[in-house]
Amino acid sequence: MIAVIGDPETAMGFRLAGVKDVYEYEHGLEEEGEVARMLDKLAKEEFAIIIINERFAAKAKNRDKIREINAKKRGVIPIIVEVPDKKGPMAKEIDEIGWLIKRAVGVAVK
Amino acid sequence: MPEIIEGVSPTRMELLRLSRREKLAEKGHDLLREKRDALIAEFLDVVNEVKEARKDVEANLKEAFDFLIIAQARLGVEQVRQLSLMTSREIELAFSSRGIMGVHVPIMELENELVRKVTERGYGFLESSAAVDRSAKRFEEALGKIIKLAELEEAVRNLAVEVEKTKRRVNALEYIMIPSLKATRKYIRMRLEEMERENFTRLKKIKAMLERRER
Repeated sequence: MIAVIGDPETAMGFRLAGVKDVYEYEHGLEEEGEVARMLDKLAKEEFAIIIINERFAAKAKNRDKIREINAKKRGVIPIIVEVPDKKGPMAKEIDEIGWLIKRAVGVAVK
Repeated sequence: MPEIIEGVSPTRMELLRLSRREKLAEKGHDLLREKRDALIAEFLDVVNEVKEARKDVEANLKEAFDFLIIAQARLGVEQVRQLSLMTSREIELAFSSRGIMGVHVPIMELENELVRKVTERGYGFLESSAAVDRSAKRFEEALGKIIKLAELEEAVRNLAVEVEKTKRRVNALEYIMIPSLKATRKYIRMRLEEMERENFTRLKKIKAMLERRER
């Protein structure tokens, strides 16, 4: 029910925590569109929560794929959660929550 | 200038119907406005919760990675990888949802305890070390928090969509529906008055004609 997409350290960590469906990719070494395809596959297999490293999620192709999955889903699953890797949280160029606030309330609230 | 609703006939009947509709629209507008305000309040609450939860997850993961790196340094990357392959288990989630003003918010319940005892993880003591245990424990904790975070983030997204929808409806009523009803009502009233005046002059004219004929 929980799947993880991440770099080797993240993958190892979540495997230690007992997650079975862990998919490991090296940054820069993954095939073109490989992660996006995996996201698609996991979404179709009805995983409840897909945990993905921020650094993977930030790549344009994967970002588009995440948007597509979120727009297409009818129920509550899958929920895609972005988590930092061992280098810590990234400075996000697109702050999703901030953007949602702006759309919902009309002004940016800190 | 608001549009007049097309195809209405300027009659008293229509005027009555329109004022009833206008009252209804105003009531609806008030209700929706209240809903919108309540939704926004709820939304901002959940936003704060998300921010807290995210910080918590980030701190927890950072610790987990620190221990993982220590474990890797002590035992070697390959050894930790081997250990990590032995610990898999089923993680079952029970789904339900809660409604906040018509918005579905998911609730996920874990069916088994996430944080395991050292003996439950499935690797032996000889080939592992305390750092592996600590790291595994932190990752298990982080996983629990991530599940909570997923729940909250989903709630925020759904609430935002609902706030937007409600806002659009409030605005449609406030700036289009109600003004156009008002304008149409005014138009009909004016037409009726105009017809009254026409009738009045017509009567005058007929009266004058009749008087002329009598003479």
